[in-house]
Amino acid sequence: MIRNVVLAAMLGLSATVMAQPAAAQTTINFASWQLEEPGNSQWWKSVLDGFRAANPDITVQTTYIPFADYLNQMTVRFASGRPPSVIQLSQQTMGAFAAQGWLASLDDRIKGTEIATDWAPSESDLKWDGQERGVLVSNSAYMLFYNQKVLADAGVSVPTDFASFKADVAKITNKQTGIFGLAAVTTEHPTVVEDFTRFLRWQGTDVIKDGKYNLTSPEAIAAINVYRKTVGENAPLGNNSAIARQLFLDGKTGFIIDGPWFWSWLAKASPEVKANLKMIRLPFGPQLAPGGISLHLAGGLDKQTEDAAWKFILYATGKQLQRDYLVETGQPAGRASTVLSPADEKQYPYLLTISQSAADAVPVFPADQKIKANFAEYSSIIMKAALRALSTEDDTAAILKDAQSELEQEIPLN
Amino acid sequence: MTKAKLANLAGLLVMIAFVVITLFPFYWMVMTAIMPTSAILSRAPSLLPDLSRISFTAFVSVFTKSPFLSWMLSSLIVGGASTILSLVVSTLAGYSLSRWNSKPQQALGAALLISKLIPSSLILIPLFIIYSTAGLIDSYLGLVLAHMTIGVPLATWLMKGFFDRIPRELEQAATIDGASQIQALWLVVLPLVKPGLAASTVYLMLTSWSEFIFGRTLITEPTRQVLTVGMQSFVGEQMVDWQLLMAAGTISIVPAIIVFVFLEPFLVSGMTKGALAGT
Amino acid sequence: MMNRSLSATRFIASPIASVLDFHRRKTALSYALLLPAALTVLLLIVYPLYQIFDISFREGKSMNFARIGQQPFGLDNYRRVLTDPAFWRSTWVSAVYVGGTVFVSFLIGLATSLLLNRDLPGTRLLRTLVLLPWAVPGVIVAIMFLWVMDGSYGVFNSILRDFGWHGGDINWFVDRRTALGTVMLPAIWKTYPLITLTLLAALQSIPKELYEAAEIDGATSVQKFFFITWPGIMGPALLVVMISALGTFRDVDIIFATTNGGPAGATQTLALYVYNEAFQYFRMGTATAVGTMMVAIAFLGTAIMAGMAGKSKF
Repeated sequence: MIRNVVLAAMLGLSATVMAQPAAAQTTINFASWQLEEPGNSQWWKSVLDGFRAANPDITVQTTYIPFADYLNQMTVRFASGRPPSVIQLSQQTMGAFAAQGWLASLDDRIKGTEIATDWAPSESDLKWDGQERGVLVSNSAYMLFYNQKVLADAGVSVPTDFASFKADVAKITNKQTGIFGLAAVTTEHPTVVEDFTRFLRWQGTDVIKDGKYNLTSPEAIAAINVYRKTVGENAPLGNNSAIARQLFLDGKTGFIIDGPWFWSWLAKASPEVKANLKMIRLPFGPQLAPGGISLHLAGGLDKQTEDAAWKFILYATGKQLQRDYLVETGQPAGRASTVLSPADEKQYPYLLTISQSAADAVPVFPADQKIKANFAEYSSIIMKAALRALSTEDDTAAILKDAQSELEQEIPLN
Repeated sequence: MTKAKLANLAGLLVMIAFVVITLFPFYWMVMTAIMPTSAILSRAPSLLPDLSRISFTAFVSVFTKSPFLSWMLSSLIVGGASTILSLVVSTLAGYSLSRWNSKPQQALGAALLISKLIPSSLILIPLFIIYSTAGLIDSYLGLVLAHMTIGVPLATWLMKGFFDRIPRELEQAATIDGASQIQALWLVVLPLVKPGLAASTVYLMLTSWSEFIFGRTLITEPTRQVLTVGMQSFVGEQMVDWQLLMAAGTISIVPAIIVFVFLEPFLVSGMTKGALAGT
Repeated sequence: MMNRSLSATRFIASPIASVLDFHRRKTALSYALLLPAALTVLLLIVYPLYQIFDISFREGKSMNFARIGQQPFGLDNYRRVLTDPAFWRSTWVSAVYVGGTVFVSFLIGLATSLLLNRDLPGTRLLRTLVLLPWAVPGVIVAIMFLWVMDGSYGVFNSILRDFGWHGGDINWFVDRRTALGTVMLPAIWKTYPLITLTLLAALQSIPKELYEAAEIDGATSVQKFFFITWPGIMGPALLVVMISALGTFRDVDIIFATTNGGPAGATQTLALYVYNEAFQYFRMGTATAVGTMMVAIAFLGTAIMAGMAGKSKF
């Protein structure tokens, strides 16, 4: 109350100044970081155009904010009580928003739709307090990209398991010629957390085991030693994802492990490099997904707006658009791998590979709700450990012991 | 050669060396924009441009692939309006602080600096609440106001410093001749603080021109975005378009250079010796 | 209130009252001139300041501003912050970062302004070039330096190698021994031009007659600097140092875009600590608690500087 009086008095303006939308017309606001992003913008444009044409009584406003600034801008809007009606999030960030009670439950809306039956297993990852909170638009899976010329020059063949991958990477690195085995993210950047975690999982262990943090176990220490050696000694240090990808495209590294959409970026390489760049399913298990992109309804919308907003989500995840999404962006769709027609499979064999990897992939990060709610914190503790491993001489066991105790203190599991 | 000339020559050489080193990152930005990325991303990149591989297409693409002109226009509108308004406001305030110093007045002057103390990330949410309550989101007026809050405190104190150097006797003489205090300020004092006005203008312009966080938060409508915010869209979630980004960065500095060149004569129009001869 | 007293005095026609009237009008004028500036700045600051202060005493982890006022009242946030080693490290990092950046920027600003104040050939061009870094938006500055100082492919390391460096690649922004020094480079780059400009403007306003008189008295250049130049620029110098320090203390843009506080918190300043608490961890309470303390620290620093400025007849 005092708050409002202060506000109104300060500006000499009251809330009535705000424009009221016409009654017959429902206005929804859709926020996304992909509306102008090359690779995705075309698809979103077709979704918006199609939806607007089919629903003349619904006005769709859009809020585009580039990824670098998206989450804090969304935080500003939700925290000040003025959220968009439909918000795009990634699986990793959804927890923090759900924990604040900002995302509406979708249980009643999803019941009886194809989302309940036809969606990839990762959809179950979007639950909060036992209720569905989002709809997966896209899924993901790590793919292995390699440069066959760089491999051939170093005299190595395409890896068939984790051990041969390790060995190949080490053999390719030649700092004199500026050729590295691997392009990886080696600076303060979320991908480091993925890298750290997947090196654990590819070697048969994990951050959490039997409901407890597992970083001090001998197998975790051994796995992170491999990470230090493989990434720390064979990837240029200090790279963010943009530079890492650019290096691979410029033919300066043998491998990069990245999301499937990177396939479409290979076209950006110069013709002589491009011919050598290949993508295959990861030749070692488990197939992992860092999480896809999902759509959510803001909590507390009035019924009319919420109906319209839900209509928009259903439209964007319709079967034809999901197929187009896969074909146009190279990112597997939220629907399980049934979106491609036999003709598509023939025309786009790589999309089949991608879809199958995604259909087999399990989420790379722990499913524990406490970790999801505090993912940024979890991420920063792991990132600190990973960067210590890459950029200092500290003992691996000591690094992991610190990380473990920080995790236990900041995000206790029980 | 005289001793003074030698000293000047040495000074010139130091200056040139300094400028070369300081502007190297800027030079490298231009190089990145005109050379193929693969030539720049090299273990031993050539420091001089390879004339056969230079291409200015990135500079064209900036305009064809993005609404660069409308970003620039927004920045110019917001920058121009906030500079003019801030200049008026802070000249008056600086004059007031210089000529009177009652306690409440001093307190108010000091309070201006409070806005410089709060971390901007904390202001964002309350500011967003104020702005959306007042219907100022997506309006140039709102952003102009926000930029004024950044620029006015320093500009005010800067102007106070310049007014302090002008002897009061000058206006007193004028007011005795029948001019009001405001007229005296306008006719007698202002012409004497031109360097201060020029310095403040440059400061206000550049502050607004390079401001990012308010522009990002308070304007979401794509066609109204300012340059710093718009340029961020070259940094995608997945990839950075280096050539485009660096070309855009290069172009973004041009208006500032124009401002410098235009205001430079005022910055140095050596303070009217005669007026101060008596002090 | 003011109106009534003004109109009341108008009816009293004694000579004393007319002098009083004159003074009141003058005082009213002094406030009227200051008012627009105070309004613009304070309007948009008072409410946020009040909220920051209020929230810093609300316990619990919440970001919901509409409901945050219902959280229980207490000192929990301050307790948490003051016992967090990361907070104390950030305080230290901030001190080094602000101190180092402003100190070096001031030296550069002073040297360049003194040189530009002489009648060197080509001064006009030099002056524009020296001020140029200021025109580059912080976001771009950060990217530029990341690009140049990259460990493996940065042109800076390549130049070092050309000069015979064989110590291997230095990962300037990533190595914890070099990171803090390296993030100060773009900060200095962006900070010194304002100092140059302010000092230059101050130098221009020192009457040349003073130097001529000193020359006749046979003063050395060092004497001229300390007895004429320095007193002439001291006021503006203190002001611009203060403003630059506050800006460096408060802004996150450059660190955010280069190291984001890493490696392992080596470049996490207080401002970035606040940012992360609020927007990464959604702990608005601790973020505002640190914000409140930052305001206090900055206020203290400003007061000390202003005291110094006052003594120097600023």
